[in-house]
Amino acid sequence: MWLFRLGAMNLLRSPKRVGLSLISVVAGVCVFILGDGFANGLTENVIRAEIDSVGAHVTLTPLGYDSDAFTRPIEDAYALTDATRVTLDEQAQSWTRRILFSPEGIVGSDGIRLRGVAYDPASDEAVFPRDTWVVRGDMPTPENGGVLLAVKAAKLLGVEDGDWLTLRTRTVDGALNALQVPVSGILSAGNPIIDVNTVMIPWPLAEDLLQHHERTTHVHARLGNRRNAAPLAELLRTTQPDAKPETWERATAELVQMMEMRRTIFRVLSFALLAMAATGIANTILMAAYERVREVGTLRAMGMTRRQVTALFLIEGAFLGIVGGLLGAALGGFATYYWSVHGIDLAPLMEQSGDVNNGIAFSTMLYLYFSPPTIAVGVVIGASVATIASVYPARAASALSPADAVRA
Amino acid sequence: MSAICKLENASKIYGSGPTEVRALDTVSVTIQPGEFTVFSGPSGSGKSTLLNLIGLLDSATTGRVLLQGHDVSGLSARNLAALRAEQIGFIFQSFNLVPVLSALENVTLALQLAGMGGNHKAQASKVLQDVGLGEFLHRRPNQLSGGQQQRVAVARALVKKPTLVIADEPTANLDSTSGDNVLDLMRDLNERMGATFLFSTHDPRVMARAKRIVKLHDGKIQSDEQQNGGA
Repeated sequence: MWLFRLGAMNLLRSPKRVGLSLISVVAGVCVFILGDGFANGLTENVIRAEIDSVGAHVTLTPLGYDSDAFTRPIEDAYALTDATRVTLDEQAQSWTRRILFSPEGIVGSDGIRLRGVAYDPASDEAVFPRDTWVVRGDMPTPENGGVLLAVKAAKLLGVEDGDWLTLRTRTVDGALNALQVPVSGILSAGNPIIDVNTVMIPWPLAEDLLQHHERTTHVHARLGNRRNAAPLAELLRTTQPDAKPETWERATAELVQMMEMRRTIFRVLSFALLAMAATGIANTILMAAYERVREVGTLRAMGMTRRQVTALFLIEGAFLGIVGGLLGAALGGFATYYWSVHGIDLAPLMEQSGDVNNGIAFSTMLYLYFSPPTIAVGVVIGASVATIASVYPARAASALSPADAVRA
Repeated sequence: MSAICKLENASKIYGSGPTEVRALDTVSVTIQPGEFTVFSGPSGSGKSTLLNLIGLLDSATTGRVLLQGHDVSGLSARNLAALRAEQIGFIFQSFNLVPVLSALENVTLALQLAGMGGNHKAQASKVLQDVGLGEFLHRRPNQLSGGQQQRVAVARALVKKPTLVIADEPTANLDSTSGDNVLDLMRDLNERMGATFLFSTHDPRVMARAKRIVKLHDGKIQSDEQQNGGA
């Protein structure tokens, strides 16, 4: 116990030097915790956005369906079997149909490629929540016969709510078709995959444009527990042989992997900072050891063993690491907690980056993931790095000959 | 009376070949309990080396060092540390107190290192009272004068009731009044407690108080004389 006390008190000898070493530990631990919270938050953001706006928990697409950000084939649209309907009614919390297509949106002589979403007004909201939606104007109704146009597309085309828009596309059977529709509302969903170029068309109106006759390209099911997606996908595989079920886990696997790369970058950054901290601590303890050669000699003369001398300097390093780790954890933990509650608005960043939509759904409000175990790990890492960094100086101090040291 | 410490033909040689330095050359000396002995001689005469061997801070290249009849040459570093902690007290020229600890804590540390039982604070406090520092228990070294710091060092050396106290130039960094006070204190403790003191010094005031003076020259004992009672 006295050894711990002596070690702690020794740290107070050079407050400035110790303070500088502390800052590097604090920074390393803080970045580790914030980075982890950011990476986890981003992963959860992407998963939630994918589930809440693109695919729900299970998606059924036509066999061989091949789409990207610009191509959304509809020629393989399929009709739901009775067995599939029954299975979805029984197993899913809610389900809906959508047809994704790529119409050209034309106003006067201007035209742009849009992301068309034909949706079932009766069931869509139960699967894809609209709590982040802001609609300028009105939602489409049978009475107004309109569509919702994404805010960025509306800006590009110079369209306001109430204006008319011509949609040109091929029908499910391949014929060229066009429809002039009023834009009942301008949609901001806080999700670039929707906000950049989406046009939302109610199912009955889409029939006029796509002539799909109850066929669909997408069926989306939402579950009470997202972990149950795989069993439902297996069931749907048998009830709907002409379609391929995909779970949210598979749909987001590549995205999650991409997010993991970000986590790795944060980890590398935090470990680089911690490596710098380790060097600083090793230097601090080594300088302390060489400054206190005579004192070490005295302690050895008084009967302190080599092991106790080693322990004394290790304790000093460990205290430095624990204090730095705790401060870093407090700082990183507070920031992570704050942003986990209040979120970070990425919209201005999106504006600056030119609204590039690379087909990834995510919410422009990023909520960091607050994880107490990560904070605990941060403290342990800080303390461990500092202790390990003190091994060499501690051994150097304990190797001093007491006879030489007392006269140093 | 059995000897506390005995050196038998002890030599200490540093380096080898042309760079060989014979710091101590086949020295034999016996220390009896209650001695107040000064080892004197010019720089390089071997007095510090001799005290290092007696204090178990260093080992002899040849010859034997016996502490209370036991040969210490084969002991491990750990056992030597334990012997130093329990049986030997050190007083250094520069006091060598731990600056972050108070006078009381510096003295207590000696008991903690020796692993002794009892109430350390009470024991340390009593010894500090004995050396006249009862009012300065909680002062740190930088809040004490040189003489007071050396008194703390004396208390630290004596608190564990060692067999032997080794004092290396204990008055070199003190003014004459403080030096006299510290020497009187040590002589008093020698008389009252029977503590054995060994000094390495050139200071004539120390030599004047010594009961025995061993003069060294070129690593050899030149003379070994008893003084009647010292000053």
